[in-house]
Formats: sequence, structure tokens, C-alpha cells
Amino acid sequence: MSASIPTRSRRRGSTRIVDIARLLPAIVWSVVILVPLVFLVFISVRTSAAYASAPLAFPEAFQLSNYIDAWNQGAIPIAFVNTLVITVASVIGVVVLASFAAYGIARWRGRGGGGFYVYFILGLIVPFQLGLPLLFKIFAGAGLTDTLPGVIVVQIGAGLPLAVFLYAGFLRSVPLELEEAARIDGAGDLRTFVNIVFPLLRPVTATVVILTAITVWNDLIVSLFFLSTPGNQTLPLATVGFRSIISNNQPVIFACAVITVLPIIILFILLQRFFMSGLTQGALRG
Amino acid sequence: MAIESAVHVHRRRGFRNTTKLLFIAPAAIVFAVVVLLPVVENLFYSFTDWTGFGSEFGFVGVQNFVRLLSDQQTLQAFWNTIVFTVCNAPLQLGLGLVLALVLKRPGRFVSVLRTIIVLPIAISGVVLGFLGTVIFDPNSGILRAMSELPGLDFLAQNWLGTPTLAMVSVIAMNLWQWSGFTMLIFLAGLSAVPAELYEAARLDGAGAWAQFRAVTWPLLAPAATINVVLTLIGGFKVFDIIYVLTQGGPGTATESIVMRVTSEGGFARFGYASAIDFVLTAVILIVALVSLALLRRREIDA
Repeated sequence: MSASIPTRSRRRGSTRIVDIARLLPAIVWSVVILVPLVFLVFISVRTSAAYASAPLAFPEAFQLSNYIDAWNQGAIPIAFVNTLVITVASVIGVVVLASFAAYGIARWRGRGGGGFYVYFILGLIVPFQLGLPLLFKIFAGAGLTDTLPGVIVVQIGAGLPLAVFLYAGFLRSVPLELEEAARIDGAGDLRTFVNIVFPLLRPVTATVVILTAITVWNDLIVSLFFLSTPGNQTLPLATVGFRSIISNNQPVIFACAVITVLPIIILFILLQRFFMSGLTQGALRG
Repeated sequence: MAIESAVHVHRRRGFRNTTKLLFIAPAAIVFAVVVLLPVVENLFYSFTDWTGFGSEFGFVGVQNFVRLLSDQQTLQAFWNTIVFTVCNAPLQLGLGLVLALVLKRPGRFVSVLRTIIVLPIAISGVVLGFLGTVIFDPNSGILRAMSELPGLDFLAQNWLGTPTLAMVSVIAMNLWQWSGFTMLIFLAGLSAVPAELYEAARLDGAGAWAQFRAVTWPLLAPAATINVVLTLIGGFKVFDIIYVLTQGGPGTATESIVMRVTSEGGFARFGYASAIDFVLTAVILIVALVSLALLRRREIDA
């Protein structure tokens, strides 16, 4: 009996090594992911002269002046605010419209519910970017081109299919009893949804928030079509414009790139805990 | 009896289909205007010679579609898109599956690895282009630097400037960005497999491979279906990654069909661009429906 204790701990020690060996493919792939990102950051803190002489050398000194230059010369502050406004408004719009719609679809009695579901899922199939020129014409008639609200409406429309798909998939597994209890207590449809059902959808909401925020924050093509005034620029637009101005100073451009991706990466890391449970419950129960 | 009828009355007063319609309508309208209306309009213009500017156009029947069949550049773009999709899909699905199987047991280190592997989905196309320079530049890229190591001299290539290698680079970059998402969906599928099933299989004397065949694989079917369909749809719609890495070059060696539509539209041949767009949409629809039907059948069999 007492002899079994050391054997056990030795076995545990060896499983550690076995575990690492088993994780090897994931470790190798993580390195593949990280190496280019690390060099992007390394280059962003070097002088352009140092970069020219040895492109992939370890930074001689972590000088942050590149970041200050990028921030000041790249019209970043205004683009930052615009991108933030567009992203926040689009995320709220997608979450509200998609969760309401998915609730209506999932609780539809009789035929028709499936029809609405397919209607939204079509949006996952059609290449929506190709409709942008015509959409521009439609929006120009309504005076919505070159405005942030115009871009927000486009982003909401584009984000709805995936969000409806995830919400509807999850709602099918939410038992009706809670809602019926709320109704018996006299709550109306709106109150039942907002107070009882919506809080249950939290994991899917986290997933929808992440996916929508990433798409909108990083979008280039919609803002390229719809926004032309410098004061309306978004971060990706500003980065592209900035690169064409100072094409010879790679470190400053990379600093600009790091500034643009950092907020969304932080959001992603904060919310990623909920991300997977939302995917599990939304995408695989449909 | 009284209770039953009370419930019945209550049901009737409950969530009515008209109220549900009000819940659905705002999303349905925004979606219709932003996504569906342009698609329908595109279909209309694909039978015209509209330039994309002004309001004059004439109907030309199926002329745009006939032209498509003899336009070498468009056919090449279709071919490139198919090559990309067909080569990328098995790699992305295989890599995603291996990573998910390796990382299925939760733990501190495992969740760090998961986060790193999914991280690239948060990287914008613009920044992806910069990373392309960092990796593939023939003078200053990481691959070039690695080629100085013994035995790796084959990495010294003009990656983005040689037709075949440019396609290889584009696919590699796509895997870099999207394998993590494929892995996540497989992980979501794995987490839905009850642990008792593995226990039972083990008691029956099943080894690791037998457990995979008998338990993991069949129960992974819904996740596999979603992954296959998303990867195929994504492949046919590929645009950003190619645009930022090669702009479709060298020449037209990596030009995708979405890029082709965009450039034809820009060249004041909107009607023709619409026709290509229409064919692409039809192809995606068919591929999605056929693969869904085939995979759903497999799900039921398993």
C-alpha cells in the first residue's frame, strides 16, 4: 500500500511529459501564430534605420516614439473615435434586432418560422460585399452615404444572419416553462423577453458581441465604399492612408497597426471565456 | 377540465404570431435592404449593359453570361477560387480537428494555447497584409531569414511573386487566420460528447483509435457539418487575404472571383460584373445545399 504512493507520483510526473508530447501539435501551431505577431511588435519599436540594416533583429531599444508619431501623424485619434462609435452602435443593433427576431422565429407556432429562419440564413451564403455598389446608390438617395449612421446600418444588416443563426439555435433548447410562468404572472411579451429570456442568452450574446465587434472594427471594404470625408475615417482606412503617405517608414506603420488591433484583441481575450460556450450552444443545437 | 380550458385560454392570449412578427420585422427589414435587395438588383442588372454610372442601360439578354464563358480572365478567376477552396478546405478542417482533439481536455496551459490559436481571427485584413510582408518578403521576411539555417535553404523563394508559391502563401495565411475558428467549433462539438460514452468504450476495451472511430467521430458530425459548409462558403467568397497579400498577382495567378467582380464593376462594366456575381452566388448556394444534404444524411447514419 505504502509502496504504491511513490509509483503513483512517478506516474504523474511521467504523464506530464506525455501531456506535453500530446500537446506538441498545438504548441508548434501556437509558435507559428505568435512568431509573425512578435516580429510585428518588435519592428514597431525600432528605428527605420535599424530596421533597414537588420529587418528581424531583436529591438535595440524599446522606443515608443513610433507610437506617438503614428498617433499624431496618422489621424488616428479621430479614426479611433469613429471606429469605436460604429462598432459599439453596430454591436448593440445586431444584438437587439437579432435576439428579438430569433425569439420570434424560435417560438413561432405552425409553419413560417422555418421560412424566416431560412430567409436570414441566406445571408450567410450570398457574398454581401458584392452588393455594396448598389447599396451605395440606394443609400445615396437617402442621404446616408459618407455618414457614420449609414455605415452602422450596413454593418447591422450584414451581421444579422450569423447572429440570428446563433440565437435561434440556442433558443430552441431554452425550456418554455420559465416564459409561461412569467406570462401567468402577468408579464407581457416584451417584458417576458427582456426580463426572463434575454438574460438566459448571455453566452450567445457574448459570442455575437465578439464576432460582430471583430468584423466591424476591422472592416475596410464597407468604409471604403461609404466614407470619404477625412473626418469620417475609420482605423483601417486611416492605416491604409497613412501607409501611402509614409511608405518608407515601416516601423511607424507597424506601430499604427499595433494600435489598431490592440483594443479588439483585448476585448477578445476578455470575452473569450464565454465565446466557446456560446458557440457550443448556438451553433450546434440548431 | 376547467384547468385545461384555462390553460387553453391562456395559451391563446400568450405569445401570438402577430406579436412574433413584430419581433422579427425590424431585423427582417434591415436585412432585406442591406443584403437581399442589392442581390436581387444585381440579378436584374446581369441582363443589362449598365455601366454602373448614370441611369441609362439596355437589356442584352444572356449576352453577359455568354461572354463570361469565353472570358479567359474570368474563367481563370473561377479556377483560382476552386483551387484555393479545394486545397484549403481539407487542410483547414484537418488542422482544426487535430488541434481540437489535442486541446479538448481543459486546463490552464491548454486554455492559453486555445486563446493563442484563435487569436488571429481578431486580426484585420490590413494588418494581415503587414504580416504578409513580415513573413514572405524575399529580402527581409521570416522565411528568408529561416532559409539561412542548414537544410532550410528551400525557403529562400520569391513567395508572393511566383504563381504557384503565391497560391501556397495565400492558403498558408488563410490557415494561419482561420484554423483556430475551425478548431473552436470542433471543440464545441467535443464538449457535447458525454464522458460516459468514453468510459463505456474503454470498458469494452476500445483503444484510443477505436474510441475515436466509435464515439468521437460520429458525435462530432454536427460540428463537422458546420465546419465543412462554412469552410466551403468562405473559400468561394475569399477576397481580403488575397487582396492584401498579392492583389491577385503575379499577373492573375491568384485573382479570386470576388476580386474579378470588383474590378470589372470598377471598369464600368457593371452588367457583366453582376452576371459573374450571379453565377458565383448560384455556385455557392448549390455547393452549400449539396454539402448540407450529404452531411446531414451522414449525421443521421452515424
